[in-house]
Amino acid sequence: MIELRDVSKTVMSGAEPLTILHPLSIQIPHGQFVAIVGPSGSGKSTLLGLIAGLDAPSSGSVLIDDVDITQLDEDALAKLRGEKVGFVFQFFHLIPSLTAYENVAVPMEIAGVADARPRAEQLLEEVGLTGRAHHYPSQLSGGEQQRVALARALANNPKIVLADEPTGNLDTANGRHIMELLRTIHAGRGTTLVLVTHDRELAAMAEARLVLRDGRVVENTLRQDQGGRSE
Amino acid sequence: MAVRETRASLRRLFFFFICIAVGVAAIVALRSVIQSVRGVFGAEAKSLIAADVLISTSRDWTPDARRTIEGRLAAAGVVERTDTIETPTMVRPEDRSKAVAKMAELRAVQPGFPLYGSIDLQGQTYSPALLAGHGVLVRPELLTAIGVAVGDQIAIGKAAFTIRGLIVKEPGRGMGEFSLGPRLIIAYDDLASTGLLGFGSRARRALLVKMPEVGVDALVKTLHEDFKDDFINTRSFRSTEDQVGRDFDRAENYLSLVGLIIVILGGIAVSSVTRVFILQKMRSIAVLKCLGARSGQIIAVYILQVMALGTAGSLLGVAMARGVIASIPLMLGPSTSILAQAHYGVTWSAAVQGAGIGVLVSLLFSVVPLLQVRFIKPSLLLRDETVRRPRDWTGIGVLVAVSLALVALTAWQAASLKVGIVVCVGFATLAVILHFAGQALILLIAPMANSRSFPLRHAVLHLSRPGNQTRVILLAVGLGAFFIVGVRSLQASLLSEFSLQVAADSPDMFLLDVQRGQADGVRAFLGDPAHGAGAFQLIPVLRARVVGVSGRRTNLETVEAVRARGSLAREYTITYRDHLEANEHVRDGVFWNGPSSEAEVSIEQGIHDRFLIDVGDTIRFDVLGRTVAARVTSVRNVEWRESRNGGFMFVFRPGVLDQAPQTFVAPLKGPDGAEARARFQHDLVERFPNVSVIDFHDVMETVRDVMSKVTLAITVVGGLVLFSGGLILIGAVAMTKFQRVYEAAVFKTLGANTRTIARMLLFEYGVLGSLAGLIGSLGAVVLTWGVSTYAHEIPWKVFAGEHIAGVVLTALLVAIIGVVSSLDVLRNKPLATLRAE
Amino acid sequence: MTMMKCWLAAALALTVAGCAPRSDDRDDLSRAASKELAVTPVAARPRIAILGDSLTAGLGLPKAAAYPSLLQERVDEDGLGFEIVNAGVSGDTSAGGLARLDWALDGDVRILIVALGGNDGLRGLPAEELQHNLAQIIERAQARGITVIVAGMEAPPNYGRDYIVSFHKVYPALAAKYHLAIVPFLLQGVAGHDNLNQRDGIHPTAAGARIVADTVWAVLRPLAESRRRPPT
Repeated sequence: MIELRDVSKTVMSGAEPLTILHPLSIQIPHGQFVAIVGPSGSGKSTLLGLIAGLDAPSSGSVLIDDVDITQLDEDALAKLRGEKVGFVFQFFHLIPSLTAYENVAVPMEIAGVADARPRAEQLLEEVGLTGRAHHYPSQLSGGEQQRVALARALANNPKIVLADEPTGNLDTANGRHIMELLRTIHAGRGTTLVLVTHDRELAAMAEARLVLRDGRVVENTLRQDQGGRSE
Repeated sequence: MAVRETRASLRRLFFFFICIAVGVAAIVALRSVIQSVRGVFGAEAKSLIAADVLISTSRDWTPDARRTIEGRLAAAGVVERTDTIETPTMVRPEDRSKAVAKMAELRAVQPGFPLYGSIDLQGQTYSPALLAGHGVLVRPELLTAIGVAVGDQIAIGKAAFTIRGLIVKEPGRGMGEFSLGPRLIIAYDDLASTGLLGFGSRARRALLVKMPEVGVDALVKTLHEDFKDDFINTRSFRSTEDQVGRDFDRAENYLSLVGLIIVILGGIAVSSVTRVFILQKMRSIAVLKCLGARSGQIIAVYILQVMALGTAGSLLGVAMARGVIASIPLMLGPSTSILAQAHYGVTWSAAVQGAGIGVLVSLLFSVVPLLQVRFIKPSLLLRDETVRRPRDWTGIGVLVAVSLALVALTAWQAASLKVGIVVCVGFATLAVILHFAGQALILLIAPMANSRSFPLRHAVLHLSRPGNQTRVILLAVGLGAFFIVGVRSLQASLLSEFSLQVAADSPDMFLLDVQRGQADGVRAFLGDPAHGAGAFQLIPVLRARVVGVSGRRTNLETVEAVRARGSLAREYTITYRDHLEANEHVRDGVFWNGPSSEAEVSIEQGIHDRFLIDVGDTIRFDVLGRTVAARVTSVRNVEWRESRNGGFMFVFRPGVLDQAPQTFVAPLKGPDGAEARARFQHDLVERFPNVSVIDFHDVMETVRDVMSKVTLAITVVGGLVLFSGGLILIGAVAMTKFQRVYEAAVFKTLGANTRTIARMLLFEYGVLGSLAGLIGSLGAVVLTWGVSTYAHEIPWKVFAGEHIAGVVLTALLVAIIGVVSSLDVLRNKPLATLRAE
Repeated sequence: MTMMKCWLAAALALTVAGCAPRSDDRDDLSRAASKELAVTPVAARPRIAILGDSLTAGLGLPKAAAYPSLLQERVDEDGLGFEIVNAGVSGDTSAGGLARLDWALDGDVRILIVALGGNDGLRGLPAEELQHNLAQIIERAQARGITVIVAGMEAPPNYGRDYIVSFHKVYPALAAKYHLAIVPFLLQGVAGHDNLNQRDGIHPTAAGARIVADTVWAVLRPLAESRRRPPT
C-alpha cells in the first residue's frame, strides 16, 4: 500500500518559488496497476520520484506499507528501495561499465542475496535476453537496454515497480514489447505497478488512472477510500 | 527541472573556472617567485666578487693587455669599472718602540669599490672619504696582534696610515681566497707612497666591471680567448670555478626545472578541465546538430567558449597568484629579513606568460576532443550510443600539430629547443609507461573481481571495464606525483649538499707547519678550554712522489714510465693513520687495523681508476730521497665535497713513515668572536712562532649567509610546488567525479547505501592513487638520478622518506578526494543527479 | 719568489675545498729533455744533500727537471762520483728543515746545501726565527764534519723595506759567522722574469731551473772537487 498525504513540491526558480506539485493525497492499494498521465511538465515524473524516495517532498508525507519514508535517512531509503521498489527509467540508466547480467545482479548483491547468479540468469531469460547477458549496455539496442533495466528492477522481487516513461525512448515495436513484459510481471507476480506515461494507449492498459495537469490531479480512477474523486 | 540543470551546470562551470585559475596561479606565482629569487641569487653572487666580471692578474698590467681589455669593455657596454690591487705585506705600529711586525693582506681600492655589496664597518658606514689622506681600515684582529687602537698610526712600507675603522665584512672575498694575516683596506692612490710595488713584488691586480647582464658570458669568453696564453684570469659572478659558484649554478638549474615543471602541472590542470568540459557538452552539440549547425560552426562556438573560460580562469589565476605571493612574507615571518631583497609581487612577464599559457593550453587541449563533433550524430539524443570514429586523417593531422605546438611551448618555457624536446619526449614516455602500468594494473587486480565484498568487487570492475578512467587518472595523478616527489627529492638532495657547507661545526681555522716537536704542545694548547678552540685534529703530512708501480694491470718500472702517466709523477701530500675518516669508505680490499712495519698504502678511487692500480699491487714512493715500496691493501672513495678533515690520495698504514720528516696541519673550529679569535692567534703564534694560522671564518660566514638565503629561497619555491601541485591534483581527481556521480546515483536507486558507495569509491581511488604514487615516485627516483648526475654533478642520493611519503600521501590524497568530491552525491537525492545527466 | 701560495693552496685543499682530482692533471708542465735521475740503491757513493723547499723539490716540474737533478748531471759529467740527494719539501720552512735534518743527512753526506727561508719570508715569519733555525742546522751539520753551503733568499719588495732588509741580512751573517760558502740569491736572474717562472709567478720553469743549477754549480763545483775524498 502506497499512501501520499498532502504531498507537494516547490522549487525555487531564481528568487520566485515555483510549485511543481500542488498538495495531493492518494492511496495506491497493493497489487494495483496505475498509470499516471498528463502532458509534459505536469509533474508526473516528480510524483513518481517522490513515491520512490528519489526526491523529497516540500510538504506532506509518503507512506509505503505504513512507513513514512520522508522520515527516513538516505541509507534507510536506499535499503527500502533495494527491498521493495524496482525502478525503470526512460533513459534506462544502466551502469555502463557492467554487463547486462552484472547490471541485473547489482541490486541482489547490494541486498546480500545468496543465489544472485541463477536468479539473474532467470530474470534475463524472462525478458528474453539470455543470449546477450555478457554484453555491455553500449552494445545493446535501446529496447534491449530497457529490458535489462526491467530485469534489474525485478531483481529483488519488489512489491512495487515504478516505471517512468519506460517506452518513451523506444520505437513502437520495442515499446510494445516492454509493455507486454510489464503487464506479465504485474499479472504474474501481483506487484504494484506505477507507470508514468503521456501515451493514452498505454494508460488505457492500466487498472486505474491518475491524470495530472499543471501539478494538480484532474482525474483519479483509483479505488479510493478517501481524498480523491471517484468516477 | 530546467532550473535545476542550469544551476548544476553553473556550479560545474565554476569548478572548471577555479581549476584553470589554480593551474595558472601556480604557474604565475612560482615563476614570479623564481624570477625574484634569481634576482637575489644574482645580487648575492655579484657581491661575492663585488662585480659582474672580474679580470685579474698576478703580474703587472701590460699596456697591450690593458688596451685589449679596454676595447672589449667598450664593446660590451660596460657601465662602471674600478681597479684594485691586493698584496701581502708586513705592518707594524708607526711608534717604533712597539716594534712588532705582523703579516697582513693589503687591498688598495678606488672610490668606486665595491660595485656590488658593501664594506661593513664596526659602528660606522663606509665611505671612500674614510680612506682619504692615508686612512686605513683594518680587521679587528690586527689591533690585538700589534697592539694598536683605532686612531693610531701604522706603518705600511714607507708610509704611515691612520686607522679609521674596523672591517666587519668585505665584499669580493669569495670562497677559496684565504689570507695569512688580517685584511687592510687603503686608498688606491695611496699605494704608490708605500713603495711596496716594484720589480719582483707579488701583487694581484684586478679590474672590476659592472655591465649589462646579457653580455657577461660573451665578454668572459672573449677575454679567455684573448688571454689564454697570458697570466690574466677572467671570471664572472656566474663562474662555477668554486663551490659557491657551483651551488648557485645548481640552485639556478633547480629553479629552471621547477619553473618548467609547474608549467606542465598547470597545463595538466587546464587540459583536464578542458577535456571534461568538452565531453560534457556532447549532448548539447548533438542538439545543435539537430538544429542544423555545421560541425565547423559548432567547433568555432566551443573554441570560443573554451577560450573565454580559459581567459577568465587565467585572469583569476593571476589575481590568485598575487594573493599567494603577497602572503609569503607573512607566512615566513621574521626569517624573511634575509630574503628582504626579494620583492613579493607578480612580475609582468610571469603574469603574461602564465595567462598566455592558460589560454593556449586550454585551446590546444580542446581542439582534439572537439574534432569528435564531426562524428556526433543527432541520434545521440535518442540513443545513448558511443561515438564511433573512423580513421580520421584530419584528426591525426591536428593531433600532430597540437603535439608540435606543445613541444614549441615547452621549448619556449625551457628557453631551449633541446630541453623542450627532451621534456616532451620524457613526458610522452612517462605517459606511455603510465598507460601500460594501467593495463598491468587491470590485469593484476582482475582476480579481485571475484571478491565477496561488494564494494571491492565493483571498485575493481570499474577500473577494468571499457570506458573506465583508470588511465586518465593515472596519467594526471602519476605525472603530478612524479613532478612533486621529484621536485621535493631534488630539493632535499640540493639542501643536504648546501648544509655540508653551512654546518656550524665546520673548521674555520687552519694551522700550518706544526713541527713534530711542537705537536704535543699545540695539541695541549688547542685542548685547553681557556683558549676557546672547538674540535680540532692534527694531521701528519709528508711529501712523496710515485717512482714505480708493479701490478697486474700497470707496470711502471722506471721513473720515466711513471712520468709518462702524467700527474701520477707529481708531488703528493700523504699521511698515515689507522682509521677511515667520515667522508671515506673502502671500495675494495680491507683497511688496516693498528701499525705495521710493512709498508701498506690505501689509494683513492681516482688513482685506481686513472692509473689502473689495484689492491695487491706495489707502489714505490720517493719520500724525501728514500724509496718506500708499499703494497696497496685498499681502495678508498673520498667524498671530496665533505673533505673538511682532509682528503688524501694516498694514506699509509702507521709504522713505516712514523719516523720520516713530517709536519702537522690542523683544521680546527676557532673561538667565537673576533676579539677571542685575535687573542687566540696572537697567543698561539707567540708560543709557536713558526706556525702559520689561516683564519677563514669571515669567508665561511659569507658563504653561510649566502647559502642560507639560497636554502630559504629553495624551500619557499619547493613549498609552493607542493601546495599548488597538491591543489592541481585535487582538481584533476575531483574532475573525474562527473563520471562517478551518475553511477553513484544509479547504485543508490538500486538500494546501495552511502557507506557501500563510499567504500567502493575509496577502494577504487585508493588503488589508483597507490599505483600513481608508486609510478610517480619511481619516476622521481629516475629524475633525481638524472639531474643529480648530469646537471648538478652531485652524488645521487635516494631520499627514501620523500618517496615513501610520496606514495602514501598520493594514495591517501586521491582516495580522500575521490570520496569527498562525491560526497554531495552521496548525501543528495539521486533524482537530481540522474536528471542532470 | 717562493712557494708559499702553492703549498698553501695544496694544504688548504686538504681541508676546505678538497683536492679535487681533476686539478691533478695540470702539473706535468715541462717537457724538459733532461735525463731521469737513476734510482741508485743507498750505496757507498758520497753524497751532497740539498735541504730545501718546493724550489728544490721542483714543484710543478718532473723531478728530473728540478735543479738538483741537473746538478747530478753536472757531477756525473765531471766524474765527481757524488750522489745528489734532493731533500726538498714543498712548503717547508726553516723550522721544518731543522726538524728533518737527520733524515736528510742519512748516509755519507759530505756537503749540505741549505736552501731554506722562502716560505718563512712568504709567511712573514720573523727574520730572527729564520736565522736561529738555520744556525742550528749549520752547527749540527758542521759537527758531523759536513761542508755547508748556504743559499740565500730574498723577501719580495711588497713586504716592505724593514722586513726585506732584516731578511736579506740573515744569509751573509751566517756565512760570515760559520765561514760558509754562499750562493747569495738562489733565484738570481730568475725571480721576477715571467718567461722563467710558472703561472704562479713563484716557481721556476724548466728553463728557470737550469739557471738556478748554473748559479749553484758555480759555488758547489770547487767544494765538490775538494771533498771527493773524505777529510783525513
